[in-house]
Amino acid sequence: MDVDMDVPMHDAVSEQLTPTITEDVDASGDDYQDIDFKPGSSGIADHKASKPLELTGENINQLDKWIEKLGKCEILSEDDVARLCKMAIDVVQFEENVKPISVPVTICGDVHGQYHDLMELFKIGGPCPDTNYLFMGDYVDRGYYSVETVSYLVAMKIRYPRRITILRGNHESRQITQVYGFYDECLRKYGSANVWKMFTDLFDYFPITALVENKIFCLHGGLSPMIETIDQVRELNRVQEVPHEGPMCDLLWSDPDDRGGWGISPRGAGFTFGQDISEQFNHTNNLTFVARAHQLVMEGYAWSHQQNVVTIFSAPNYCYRCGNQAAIMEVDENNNRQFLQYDPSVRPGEPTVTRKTPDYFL
Amino acid sequence: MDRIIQQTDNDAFSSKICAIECKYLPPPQDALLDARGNKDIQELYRGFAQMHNEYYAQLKEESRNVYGRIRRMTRNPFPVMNYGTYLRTLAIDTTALKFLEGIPQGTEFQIVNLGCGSDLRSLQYLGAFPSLKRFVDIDFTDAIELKGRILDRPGPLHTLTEQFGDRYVIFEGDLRELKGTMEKLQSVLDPSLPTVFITECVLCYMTDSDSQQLITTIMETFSHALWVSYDPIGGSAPGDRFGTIMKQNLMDSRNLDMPTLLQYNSKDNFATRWENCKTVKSEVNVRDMWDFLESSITTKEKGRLRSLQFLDEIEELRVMQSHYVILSVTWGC
Repeated sequence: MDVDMDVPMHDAVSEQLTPTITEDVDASGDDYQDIDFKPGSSGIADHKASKPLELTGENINQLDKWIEKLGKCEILSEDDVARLCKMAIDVVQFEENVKPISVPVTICGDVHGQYHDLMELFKIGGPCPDTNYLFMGDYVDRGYYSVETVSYLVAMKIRYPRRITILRGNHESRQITQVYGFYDECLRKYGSANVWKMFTDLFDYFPITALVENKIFCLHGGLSPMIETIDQVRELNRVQEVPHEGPMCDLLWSDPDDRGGWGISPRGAGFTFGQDISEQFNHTNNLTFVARAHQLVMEGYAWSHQQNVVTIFSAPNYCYRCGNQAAIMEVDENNNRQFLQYDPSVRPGEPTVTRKTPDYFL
Repeated sequence: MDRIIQQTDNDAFSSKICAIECKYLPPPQDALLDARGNKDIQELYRGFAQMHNEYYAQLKEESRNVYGRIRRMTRNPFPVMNYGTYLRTLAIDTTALKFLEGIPQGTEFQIVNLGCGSDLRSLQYLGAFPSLKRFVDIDFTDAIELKGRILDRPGPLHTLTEQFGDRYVIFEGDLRELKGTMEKLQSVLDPSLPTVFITECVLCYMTDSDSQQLITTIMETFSHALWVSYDPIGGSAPGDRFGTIMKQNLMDSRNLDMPTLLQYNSKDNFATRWENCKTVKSEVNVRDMWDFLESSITTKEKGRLRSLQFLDEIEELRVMQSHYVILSVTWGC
């Protein structure tokens, strides 16, 4: 900490009166050279099982305790996160690149660390495991509770592996989480990067797409010029950091666009794809439509490409300032679809957060 | 309340430092679709990064408290914030430069930065334009005192301001106390010379009547001028909650009020305070910042911006930038 030689009295007082979570100046360090980028450095994947985790009375008991704690928005200890992530790897590593899903299922988009809104989502959609859920990625970054959010979802995944599916989003990556908040949040809440290393090592094993009743292809971003058939997705080696280019990158980064064909993405990764591309893809793979997340849409969901693509976004009032609604999509036993929209949960008494960068231009 | 408003200058300055560190600013020579504008911009942004870094370094010596606040804010800047800072900086300057283009070469002119804070346009413009007769920086007492002390510290900035001599005037003044402010302005400015008035996130903190009176009085006093203003607007589309949430967020987190955010909620509404001045015939142009990005920046420059950081949310950028406007009002031209 800098020693403030000239803090005026009223300044010090005003800082005490406003309840804030202030970033510690020196805890996070300035450069990322210190960070071990190497996938696997946390060690959580060192002793992977050769068959899926079996739920015993003992680990069910453990998981239920963790879920209860996380359900109160309390973080797990670092040791427990290590155990959680090890168990999770032995669940998700056995899932396919294209995870088959049966109806009924409720499909959800970006959550982005908005923990309280995730709890609202479960109120709107029905509690898990009574309702089956498919989440299409982006659990961390931007919101202030990425640790609680991703811990909760991972714990639910281990506890109810056939009831909940969690795909990988472009934010489930080492590089992006260093820019957009999850890395800093781990440092702040645990005092070291260990928990961040564990989770990002786990993210490498998340499945990247899902297929609902062979009819709805679900993924975080969109299509890739290098992927024509769903079988080609099955052939990818997904266990790696999200690459900067190539088919796996595109599936997590691309966006539908009004312009036809393939275009350069304004995001700097992935592509934009036109209606001609989605029509061809759906036709080739005998799909009804593609469901994806990744883009803020003000009503929480938005059809594009004449119902060839639907975007679902499940973080209401994104970044606590965008004013958007959130939505989830229910698909019932008869493959009927229904969108449920919702607004931010009311959080009385939650302390305001002083951010290290301004949220607005002032 | 004044103190809370003044602290917004820390946000503005830290954003600028971030945009410089991340290489958004200064813009390269082919950033703008307007070729003439590019030439002027190059001149104006000469030494931009060094100038700001020097100010930041001197600030550290002058006030560890303010420096500490700003340093905290500069960690891990989000791309959306860097984009916005880049856009607001460039939009204000291109608007001013366009007005200056219309003045016959060699004609003396003046610039007033109302609520200047730590903005360094004074040094940029005085360096770039020999015919700039006077640049006036005006702000609250505390802000001006700190800026004055920083510019007085031995170093390149001080050398620069010494060179400018009485072309550069910096004084304290409360824009809400109109009489005193106008007297001070008129003591150093010639109301018949072409004059540029800049308000960058200043009017949004003033009450409707205070800002209206300031605008009317200046329009009636100066015969040939440009007013360039950058401010947020609350949004007017059905179901648009951006402004309501912004007002609430700023009030909850820092007790900062934006009294007219929801009143001047659209581009058209924002312009009414200048149009209300019926005695002066003016030409008004308001654009939102998303429009500025889309229609004033070259494809090549957009590519450069993309390459600086991963912009994860183009939609978020659009939502934010469509709630900020750049206004240009000219009269007496």
